[in-house]
Amino acid sequence: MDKIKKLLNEKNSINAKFNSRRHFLKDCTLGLGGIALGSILSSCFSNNKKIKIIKSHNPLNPLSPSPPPFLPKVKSVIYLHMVGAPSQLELFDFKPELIKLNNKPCPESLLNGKKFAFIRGVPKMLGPQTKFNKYGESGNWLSDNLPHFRKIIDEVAFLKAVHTDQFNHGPAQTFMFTGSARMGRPSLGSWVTYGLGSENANLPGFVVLTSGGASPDAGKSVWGNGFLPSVYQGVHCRSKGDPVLFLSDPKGVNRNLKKKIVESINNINIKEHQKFNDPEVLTRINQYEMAFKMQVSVPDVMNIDNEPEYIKEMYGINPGKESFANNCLLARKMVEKGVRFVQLYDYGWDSHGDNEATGLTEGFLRKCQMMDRPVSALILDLKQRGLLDDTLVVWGGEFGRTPMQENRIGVGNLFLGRDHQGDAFTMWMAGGGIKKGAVHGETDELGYMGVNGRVSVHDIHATILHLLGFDHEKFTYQFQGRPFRLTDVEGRIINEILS
Amino acid sequence: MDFILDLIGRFHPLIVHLPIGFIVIGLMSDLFFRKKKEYIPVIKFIFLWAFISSIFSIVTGYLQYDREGYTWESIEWHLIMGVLTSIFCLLFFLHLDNKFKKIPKNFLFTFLALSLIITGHLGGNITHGKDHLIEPLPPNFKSFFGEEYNLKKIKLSTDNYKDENFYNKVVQPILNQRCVSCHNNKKSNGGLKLNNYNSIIKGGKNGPIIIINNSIESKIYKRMILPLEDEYHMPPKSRTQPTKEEINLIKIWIDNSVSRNYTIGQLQIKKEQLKSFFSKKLNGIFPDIKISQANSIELSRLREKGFQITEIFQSSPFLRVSCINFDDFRDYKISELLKIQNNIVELDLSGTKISDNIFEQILKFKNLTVLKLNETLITGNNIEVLSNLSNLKKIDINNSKFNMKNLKKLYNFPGLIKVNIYNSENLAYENLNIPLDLKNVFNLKDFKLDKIKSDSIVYPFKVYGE
Repeated sequence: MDKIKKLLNEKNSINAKFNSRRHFLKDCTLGLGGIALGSILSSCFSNNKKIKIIKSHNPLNPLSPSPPPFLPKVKSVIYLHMVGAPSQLELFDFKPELIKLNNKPCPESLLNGKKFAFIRGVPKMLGPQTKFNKYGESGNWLSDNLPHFRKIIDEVAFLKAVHTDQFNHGPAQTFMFTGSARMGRPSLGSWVTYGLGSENANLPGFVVLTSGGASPDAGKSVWGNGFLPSVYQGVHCRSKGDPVLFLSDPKGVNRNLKKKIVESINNINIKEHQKFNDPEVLTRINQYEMAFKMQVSVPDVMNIDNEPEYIKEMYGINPGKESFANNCLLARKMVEKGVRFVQLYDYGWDSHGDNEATGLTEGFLRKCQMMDRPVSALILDLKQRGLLDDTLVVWGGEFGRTPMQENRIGVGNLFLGRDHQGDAFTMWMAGGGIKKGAVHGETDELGYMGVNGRVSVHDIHATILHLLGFDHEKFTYQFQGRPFRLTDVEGRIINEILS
Repeated sequence: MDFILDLIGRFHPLIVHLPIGFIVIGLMSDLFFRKKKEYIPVIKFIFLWAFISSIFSIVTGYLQYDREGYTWESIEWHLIMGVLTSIFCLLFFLHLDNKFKKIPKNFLFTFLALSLIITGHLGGNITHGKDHLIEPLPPNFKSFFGEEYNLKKIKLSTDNYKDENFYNKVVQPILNQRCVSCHNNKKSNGGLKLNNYNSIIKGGKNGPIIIINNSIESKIYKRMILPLEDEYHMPPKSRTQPTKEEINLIKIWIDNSVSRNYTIGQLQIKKEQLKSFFSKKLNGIFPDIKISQANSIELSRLREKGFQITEIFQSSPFLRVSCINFDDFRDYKISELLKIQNNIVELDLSGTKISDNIFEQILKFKNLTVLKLNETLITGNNIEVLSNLSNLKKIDINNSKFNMKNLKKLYNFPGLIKVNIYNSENLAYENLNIPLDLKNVFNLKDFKLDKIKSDSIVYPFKVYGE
């Protein structure tokens, strides 16, 4: 055996002599050359010319405004997201048939092949837990949970059969805001600021305001920049205390000194940028400048105390606290000041009924009360300033809720609640280019499935981009060797709600 | 043993290329070596073999025609011309052999060349289809060759669209655009032609496609509204689909006696249903004229000064100018903008230190459409001069010192569609006698949300955010 081993070793070592690195390089000269040539040629002759790189007017400032390819209907967007998914069956989607089925066991046919987050076994059906009426000239249905909304019902266009393929909060939110349930894609607001830049040089182009005591389940990725340069990520402002953390100067540092520091750091960074051409260096330069300007501009725009009293009353603000009402007022102020995309997240709409705060006849009513007035005030306030013609307001959750009562792990919940449901839920839009009082989409008699006019999350993105002047199929960013789109390979503009 | 004949027939496409090659090289040798007698035996030899191989071609071709179900009409002239070619080969050979001198050689030369080309072309038509050579051409060349369909969509004009013929201007153009590429005189899938009225009424090989006044039972409509995934859906999934409005217009046509005579107005078709037939207003409310782009060096100079300037959309010469980042903007600085005065369609002077004197200057921007003067000290005392701006459509004067007495000066502005005046000094809406037809133009509303009972309900528990 030893001899055989020896022999094999000898053979291997001789073999190795003929396969050294030297030989590899010698033998593969053509091959290596070919590989190199391939990559050189591909960068010479690829279709890169077809991919339009958005040129800003100031190459050193990626946020300087640039025009969209088509005449836009709106210049800015306010997106109101109710984190946790509010029940469409207690707000906008009236299902009288469901009243009759209240408390009856759910028919098998509705459960076959379905997966729920919490419902197990056979749940009971749950009728609408509030009264509905028709309001406004449009005569659209609205629940009694939103009494102030009656005043703006003719301004909005409802999408009653939105669907998503995710039924857990995190992925569904990531999907709703980045067009993919997996992490790593840029958020809607980042795409928009990437495409259009920011009007006001002293404020970020994409501002995020949160309320409800918590951030969205999906974390900061819902306003992240994904593969876009990080200058396009959302800037999270707090509506309580310092709007932006660590923005104020430390004691003993005056503004002139600060200016000199920022200037010299930026000069170094500009040299760095000339050397490496890395967009992240540009981001760094701009963030320094932006932070310096924001020290003055942000406290001003984030201060709602100097608004007149009747405006404060209209929104129902809570001075000194973090609240959705404050955020709505701030959203209007920011849009007025030229902020491109204002994203509001209000936490606490996950009405499972597992405790009082999430019961449909308890906590849900309180959440409605806290949302109804500010949202209605926001629309009216934008309207009276003529801003509603140039702004798009979007309202929605990450999915909807089941027409069945939730029975967590087979046992009934203490309070009335509904489980997650992605097949049909309601969203609405208002503002420039939107057909006022329109209703698109219809759900079945139980509000369980869209039966016509179903629209997907991609369709909503396509529509928002369309209103901002983009063709969602051509609006791309080159990443990892291929152009990426917000709507991936899907998305249809919802013409039915466009004026 | 029948299959052997089939097999031999199938060699036709191969064998035909032999006589083609022989004839071409024969004709070329004859042309180039006409003076050299010593080559004649070689050329004779070539034409002899051209003749022999052409006989083989004819035999295999006939076998193929006989056994593979070609119609006589489709091969008639190919066969005749093939036989003629073969005969000319023989005559050419005999001519060279000095046995046949009745026809001059030059004539034989021309006839042979022509018959070869024609036979070859007709043969190609059989295997590759008649539109093989026309298909790759651009549309205007196609119509030159007699391809009938016109892919261009007819545009209607907003002024007289009601008097236009519905069938000619709407229905047939929709069919031309969506259907006719597969249902025309040359290519009629399912035996159906949709390129003219009579053929549409006639229907396809499975009978008529239209039942007058009954769109639901008419196949043409039925198959368009099937789900896209359905295999009977038309147009096929891979083709561009008609819009909902277009399908609906076809329905209206069927339900109104499939008439060729009705006008759009008679059928009471609403303007929005015909949306895609009107030329799109690319510029929206901005002037629909063509002007040259502003000088880019001038633009970057102005940007450097603090003006924010963007085109209203990419490639548009029209500009939006904003002083949002130009706090120290005063009346006299507007003269900076005079070099691009015709390009400015939107001017935002909100939050600047301007006064009423600015109006005289603004007058020079003759294409100005949107003017924003929010949060300024203007009172509107001199605003009437702006009535000369015929394109001016929107004015914002929120949170300014605008004096409501000056409101009536705006009444005779020619093109205003919106004036937003919110929270200005001297508000007294009730006393304003705004003419009825202008009520929608002036947005003076001051909205309030009343306090209602449910606002004051206090719940005995806490939710997120409390």
